[in-house]
Amino acid sequence: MISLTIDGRRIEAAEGSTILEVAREHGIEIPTLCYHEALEPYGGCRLCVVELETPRGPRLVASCVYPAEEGAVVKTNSEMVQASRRMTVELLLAAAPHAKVIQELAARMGVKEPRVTLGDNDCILCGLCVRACAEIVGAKAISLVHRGFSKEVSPPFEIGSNACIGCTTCVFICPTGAIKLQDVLSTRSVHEWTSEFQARACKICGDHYLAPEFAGEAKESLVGE
Amino acid sequence: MASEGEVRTGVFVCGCGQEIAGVLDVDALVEETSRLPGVALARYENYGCSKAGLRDIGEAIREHGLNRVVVAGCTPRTHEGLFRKALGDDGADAPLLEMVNIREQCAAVHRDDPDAAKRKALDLIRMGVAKAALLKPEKGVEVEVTPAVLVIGGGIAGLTAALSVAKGGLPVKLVEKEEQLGGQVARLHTLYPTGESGREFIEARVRAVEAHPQVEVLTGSRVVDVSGSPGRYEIAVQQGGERIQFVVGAVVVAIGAEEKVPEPGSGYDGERVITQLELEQALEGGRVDACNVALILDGGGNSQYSAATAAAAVKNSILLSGADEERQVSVLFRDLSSDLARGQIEEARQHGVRFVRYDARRPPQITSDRVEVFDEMRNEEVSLPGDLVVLARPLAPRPDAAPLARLLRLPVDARGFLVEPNQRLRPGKYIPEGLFVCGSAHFPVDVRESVFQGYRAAGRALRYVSARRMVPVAPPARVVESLCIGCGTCVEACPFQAISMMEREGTLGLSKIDPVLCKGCGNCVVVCPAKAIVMEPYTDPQLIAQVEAALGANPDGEPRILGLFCEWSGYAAADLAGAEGRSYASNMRILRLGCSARFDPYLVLWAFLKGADGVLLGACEPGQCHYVEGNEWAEARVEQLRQLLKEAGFDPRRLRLEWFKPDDAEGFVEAVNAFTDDIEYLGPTNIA
Repeated sequence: MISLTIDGRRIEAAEGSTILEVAREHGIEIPTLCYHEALEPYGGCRLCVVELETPRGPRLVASCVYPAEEGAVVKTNSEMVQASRRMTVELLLAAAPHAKVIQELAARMGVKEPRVTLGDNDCILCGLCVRACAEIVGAKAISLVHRGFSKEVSPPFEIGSNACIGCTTCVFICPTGAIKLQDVLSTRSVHEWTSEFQARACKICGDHYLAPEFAGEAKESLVGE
Repeated sequence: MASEGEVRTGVFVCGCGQEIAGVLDVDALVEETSRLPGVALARYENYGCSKAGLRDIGEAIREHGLNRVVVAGCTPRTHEGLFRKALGDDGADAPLLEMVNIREQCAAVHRDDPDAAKRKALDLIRMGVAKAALLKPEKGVEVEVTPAVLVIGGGIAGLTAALSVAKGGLPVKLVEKEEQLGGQVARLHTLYPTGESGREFIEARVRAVEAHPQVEVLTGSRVVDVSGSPGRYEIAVQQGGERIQFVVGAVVVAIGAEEKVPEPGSGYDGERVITQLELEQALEGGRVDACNVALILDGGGNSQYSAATAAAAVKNSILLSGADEERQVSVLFRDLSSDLARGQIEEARQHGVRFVRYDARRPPQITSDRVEVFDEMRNEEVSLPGDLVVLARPLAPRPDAAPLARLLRLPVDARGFLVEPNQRLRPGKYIPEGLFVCGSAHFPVDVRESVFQGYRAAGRALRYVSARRMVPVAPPARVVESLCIGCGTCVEACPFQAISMMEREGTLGLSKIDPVLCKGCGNCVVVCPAKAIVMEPYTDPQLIAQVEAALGANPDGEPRILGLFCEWSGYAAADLAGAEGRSYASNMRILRLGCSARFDPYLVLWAFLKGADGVLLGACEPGQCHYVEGNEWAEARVEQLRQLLKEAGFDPRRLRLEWFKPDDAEGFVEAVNAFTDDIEYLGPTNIA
């Protein structure tokens, strides 16, 4: 057992725990998005940052991955932490303005309108779906591809993954509800995970019919049956 | 401390921060749980899944000699593995785990009614404790996978697969029934869209395969026997008079398809009216001199359509009209895909090719020198001169597909092509493991698609074989030999062909389930008239104990509804409703099943006898079953059972089967509320 101080409270903790685990055990709430108990911590969303006292002054660390150390002094809700979290949430809100969980976080932290707009995609790249697929399901059907602004979750080579077993663990675990089963299952000839297909309108009746990209798949499944 | 066979269950009620503890009175739950039979310890954990929580559980197991652990907290879909690992899933004497979902399926959805939520949570825990007492240790079956691959068929798909597997470093046996490799592609004049010669294209690949040290080519040979089980298939090949035997870990089937000679009456004569493959060969030999050519895209009497054939016909129309300015070429079609021959139709039009769409009910008539057809687009009869008429028909399965399918226990469709079950859920992967099919063996495909499928099959085979060992995921069903009456009903009912009948001395046969082929849908358990098949963790005693525990108490007078949900549809949708915080009626007690095939009419009747006012069954949508056809069995059973209930004077509306989408929480909530309303309207059954 080791002991550390969180928000002025002296706390006993098991060695090898992270700061987040210790805080939660003792009812100290730290907001998270990319953390899940059943998965290895990832340190991706930076929402769980806490202030750690070091000999060179205070420092921000991600509590989901930072180990609880003997004698550590941690503040989970200081000015510095709040400023960092507000910025994180503001950026998330700028990138995913319609995600309910982000809106709630923003409201709680007093973030109103984000100062910039970074598109509108419910996926916040927390990687929960990718990790759940690999660690819980063992299918490894999806992964994070590309870097920077073009980073996204995708099956290998962006062709519908045949490793996917359709268990919908990713759908369940996604904090923003950005995934639907259809996105994961679609096969090579139809879906490329993020692409959008424009259904063509019939010139005579005006009704929309199958997009040309889907024709191959529809035919395949008809011929295959 | 625990005597042999005594059940000592430890129940850990998680608070999950405020997620559960904020809604449910966890202390009262612990208090009431500790009075349940078999419960040696009931305890509250703030976070059972944290390192400290798991350590507490481990200590409690040792301290109290627990042999069953019930975790009442979150969904097993995410956390079961975590707890299993903490309990020591590899140890033989590790306690057996059961999870009770009081977060997603209770606390998160009944925030507005804590009393009802508490009653539900208590019932769910009671169900879990009752089931845990009856759990038995499961043994996974481990199989060594032989590091070698057999490829059947030396056409384009088979050559691609064989070369790809060999490059992956595994020995490959390539069996071809003809004397030479190459298959259909070697007989093609040109390939679209590149215009390469079919023979040159295939020869390069044949040379590469023959030169590869890892590939052993067996031409003029046939697979005559397959035995063994997934991971270790024992193959016998007949080559001339010689019988060769070897063992492989995986089999790639690339037997392709063939062009059938059209039936008499279609006008086919082999000279003026020919098939498309004959046209390819005539083009290859430079023997085409007709001035008026009609290409008829024809399903051959039924409504089949092959995009590959159509694209080849368009390609040939360009070749024919491009070679001779004077030549009149027409393409008669019913459906024409612009997908495969992208841009080629346009090119054909520029060459003056005439496209005529005909009505399926009025197929073109071939007379002695013309083709009469009703042009659907112009709404008029057209008479085309036809010096040469080409019947472009889809490829048909080979006659040897059916015997091979029987040997490999692969299903075939109505036309005789090898079927890919669950194409949507697991494309490219076949249910009998270690068997992969590519190319025209499942449906007519073109060269590009064959190559792609060849690579895909090789990739799957490599991955499967290089795992070296595998453990079946689902605990398989098992036959109690002393109870089996040898009727063979289970053989018919198994969607995976995992069951066969064995000889038994002095009496009827004995059913035997291959533990590797069995996927654990539970269909055989339900159909067995002697109840001789058991499947953990969904055995009859376990399910009955859960049903009785769910219906045991009824202090509130509300309708009692039982939900029997397949874990891939209804259960998943219920979890999602919890994650999204959508609330619904709290009457239902959810019982998790592996597949809707496990819906046992006896269980449903038992539930009604024990006082259930309604039973809702949740299954995957048609065509989406993870166990191929479990939902279809369930539908048939529910239909019969409803009929039976009706005849017995019991309102059949009390039993309903719903299709659930695992990603549609809203639909789930609507369905549950609607069913609850109906049952409230019907009132109590007053049976128990």
